[in-house]
Amino acid sequence: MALLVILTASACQGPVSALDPAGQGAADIAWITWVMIAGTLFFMALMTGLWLHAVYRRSDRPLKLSNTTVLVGGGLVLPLVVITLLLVYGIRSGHSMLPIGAPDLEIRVTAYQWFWEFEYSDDQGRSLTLVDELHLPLGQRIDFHIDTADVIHSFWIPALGGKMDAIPGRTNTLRLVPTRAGQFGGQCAEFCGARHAHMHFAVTVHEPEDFQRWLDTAFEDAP
Amino acid sequence: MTPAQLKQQRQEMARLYATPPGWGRLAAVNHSVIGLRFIVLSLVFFIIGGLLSMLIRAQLAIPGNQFLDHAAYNQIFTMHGTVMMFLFAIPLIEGLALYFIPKFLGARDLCFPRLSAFGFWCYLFGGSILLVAMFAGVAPDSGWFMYTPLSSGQYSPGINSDVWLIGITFVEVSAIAFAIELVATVLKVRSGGMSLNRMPLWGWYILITALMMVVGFPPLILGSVLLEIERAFSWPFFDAALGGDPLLWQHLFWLFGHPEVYIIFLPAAAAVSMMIPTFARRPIVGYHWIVAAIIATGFISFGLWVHHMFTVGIPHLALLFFSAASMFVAIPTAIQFFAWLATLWQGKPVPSLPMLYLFGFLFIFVCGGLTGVMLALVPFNWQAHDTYFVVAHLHYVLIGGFVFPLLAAAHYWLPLMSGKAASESMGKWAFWLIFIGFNATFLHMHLTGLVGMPRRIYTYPEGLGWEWLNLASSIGGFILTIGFAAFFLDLIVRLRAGGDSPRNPWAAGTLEWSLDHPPAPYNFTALPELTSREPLWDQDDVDDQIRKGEGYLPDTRRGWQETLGVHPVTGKPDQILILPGPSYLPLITAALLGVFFVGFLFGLYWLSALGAIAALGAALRWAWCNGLTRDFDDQDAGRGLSLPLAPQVHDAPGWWGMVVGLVVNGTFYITLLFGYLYLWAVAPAWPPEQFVESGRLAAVLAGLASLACSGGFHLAVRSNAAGHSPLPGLGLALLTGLVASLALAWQIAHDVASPTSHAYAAVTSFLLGYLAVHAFLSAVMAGFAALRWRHGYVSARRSLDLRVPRLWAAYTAAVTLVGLGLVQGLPSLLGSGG
Repeated sequence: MALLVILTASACQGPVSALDPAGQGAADIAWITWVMIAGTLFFMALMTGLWLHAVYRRSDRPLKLSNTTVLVGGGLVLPLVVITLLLVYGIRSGHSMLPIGAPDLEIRVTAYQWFWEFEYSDDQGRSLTLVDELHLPLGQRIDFHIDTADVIHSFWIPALGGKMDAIPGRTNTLRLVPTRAGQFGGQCAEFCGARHAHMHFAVTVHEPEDFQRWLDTAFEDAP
Repeated sequence: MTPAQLKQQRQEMARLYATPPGWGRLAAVNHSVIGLRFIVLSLVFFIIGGLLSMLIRAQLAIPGNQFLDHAAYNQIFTMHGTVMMFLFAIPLIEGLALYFIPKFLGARDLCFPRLSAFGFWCYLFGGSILLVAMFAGVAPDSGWFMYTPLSSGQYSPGINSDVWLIGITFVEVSAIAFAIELVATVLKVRSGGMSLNRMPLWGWYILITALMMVVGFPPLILGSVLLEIERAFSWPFFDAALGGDPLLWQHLFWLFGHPEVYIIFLPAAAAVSMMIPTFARRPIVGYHWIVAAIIATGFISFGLWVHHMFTVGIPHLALLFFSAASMFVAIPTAIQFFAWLATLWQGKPVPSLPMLYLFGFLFIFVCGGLTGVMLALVPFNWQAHDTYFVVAHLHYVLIGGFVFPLLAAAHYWLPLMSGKAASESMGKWAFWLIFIGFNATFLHMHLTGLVGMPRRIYTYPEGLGWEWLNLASSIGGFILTIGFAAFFLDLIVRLRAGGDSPRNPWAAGTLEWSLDHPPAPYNFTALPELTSREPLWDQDDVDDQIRKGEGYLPDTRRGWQETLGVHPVTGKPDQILILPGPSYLPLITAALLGVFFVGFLFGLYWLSALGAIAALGAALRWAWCNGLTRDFDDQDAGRGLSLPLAPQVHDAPGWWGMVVGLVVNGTFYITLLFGYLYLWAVAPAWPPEQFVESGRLAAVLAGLASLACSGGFHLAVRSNAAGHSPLPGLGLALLTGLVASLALAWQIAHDVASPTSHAYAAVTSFLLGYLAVHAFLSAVMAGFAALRWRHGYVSARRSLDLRVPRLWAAYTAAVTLVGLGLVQGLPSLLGSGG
């Protein structure tokens, strides 16, 4: 059992794991994931136990509870309570991940078959375009404005937060807030044709001052 | 009747209901034969789909595998999903329902036996298009969900996407035929005394499932038709640069796609609801709760399609509605589970092989349901969407909620279907192999998704922590396959070498177990009057009624194949149906329809047009066979009852068939209007350069003509009822139908911009074209009805030939007025402002 726990815990680590969060959104979601997994295991044990008891019980005595109690209690009240709690949490948590309030940094993302372009710009009119390589500052609110040049793709950095589709004719905005510096992976999550499997990109989260230094140098070097 | 008379009677019936030998098998229409063909063919597709999944698991077993390249892999995963959903799951439930419904409800056949035969051929031909394409290496490769613009002409120029759109639409023709057949049959064709309240739960489940198909399949068919037109003729319905919207495809697809999951689950739950009471040795607890839960599932399942689209950028507030609906659909499912548990608790459960498989169902499906609730939570969905977590979830739902109940059902009903006794040991081995293999494949796959593996990648690099998870899944997958092989082997051995089963080996209470094992092609020698939901437990006389000819319609007068029609609610017999015998027309019509589809596939549009005209001709020839050429008095129906024949009754099955067909058609039309308004409101690149601003005169003419056409049919029905000739009314309908269709065609040519220029012109042309075709068909029906009258098929008492097309013309008038109102009115209302 202990071995299993250790195995599972180590299995959750990784540069693209949603369960090894390095961003605000991802951390929130990882937490509710564990809560819901626990709930799922509890209800599976409950239902399996009830079934096995009902089929293999020794005594012939029927249940003391009335049928209406079972149907109302198990079929209506139980799911209603659980679902309501979950929804209330989900609404609050989802709302906190929306791009509300001014961002600290904005990056234009354009998806192509089969690579990513990331465009940085500043108020002095300098701009910089990177391919399949993303650099982010720690602790800042970053808005990604996501667009596509061809088919639908989906922009996803599991360690930082949820994904957002790139849809022709639209620009979608995704906010991420990195909370841990390091190297992570991102990838296309919507099937986009032949080389979909190879459409990943590298993400580096820097300390804010390191990031600024990197950005200044990169602007200088940009053609 | 004396035993000798009875024996002769049975022989006579067996001869009447028999399917002809040799080539005559192609003319089969008997529901047991057609049902079994559906079942067998769907199992063939299950094996094909399973082999494809083995290729997938082999490729993903290790990182960087060179076994398959992306071109092969993309075809394989697309075909795996497509085959399993469209060619295995849906046809299997159709086959089971076609086979069992008359046996459960107490009928000799379905009300339109030739329609289900037609459905089978459409399924076979449509499925063959996909299979042939796969072996030719040009299978669809844009995913079973076919998202535009990846599936559109620009990014998928090959024939692959056309194969999907055309093959699947062909197969969906059979789903629509099934839905119409089953709604009409469950409502009208039951044994005497089987009120809705006494109907076995299977009947309720199938009724609601069929109604869900009536409403659920038209959006998919519309989407496929629009996308195929876009690919073939460059009408830009989904092209964002020209006023279309790729998200419209996603809405149409999931508007079908989510109800589809319940369309698959409900019939499996139906089997569970039939088995549990038998093994609990008592009637089901909470019959009315379950009925309410089925109906609630039907409604809620149409309100949650957007949970497949949580990451496309829809406003958060709107997502919450769909998030809530997706979770609340768990409540009717929970009600069913607790009703089953309570039944087991209140009864004296007998462990058995089917019960073992039902345990597998409970364990796996509960897990799939709970992970479904997880996925309905918006923030969690943002992470888990399009990852292997979803792959694991959907297999828990579909294998748990569909395959396991049907494995139980196979063991449960096989003694009835084959006459062979059940065996235990091999079935148990197969169960444990399937159960362990399934969990070993999919349980940790939830984790594979959460640690970041997206769906539909043909390879993955080392070092991301996915290696052992994938390897374990591949090993589990092979155990699962061995389990299924053991299951099928067991069945084959039993069918070949099994001992004979006693009648009703499980001591069940429902009507089907009163039949011979296997059942005779006519099912019941006589149809019983029922007073209970479990007649075999509660009614001592039911066996005598059926076997000794004491029930309804025990004889074979005039060589008619007769069955009872009842009042939909009370189950009181109100008519005698005369069933049609074997015919090649379903095969011929389906084959000609195949010419239409194959012509389209290869861009031979002249061939398509010929096929469509020939198929219409075959359909009319088919319609010609029905009906009577003289009036009959009420006929003796047995048990002291005299009943009219169906062609002389107001709500004959044919009338119900047209009503349900028009609901299908109306759903298609409403979805089309949704698309029209959706593009207008949401799509980028609007407004178009020019709206429809001319042609008021033609529009008014078309509107008035369609009203007059409907009025013409009305006039024909009234003069016929009064004993006069219906020809003046039919003549008016014929003429005005043609005028309306010409006026609409003229509008498309003169008042709408070129449909390739903008999605607005494309969708407007399509809408007007839909109306023109309907007006033209009204005219055809008027001419057909006039011919039928000339040949004596119509009298004051036999008016169905006039009343059925009257429904069509009235529908056409209504949709024409609404459509023209939108086309002419909206631009002046909204256009100038936009």
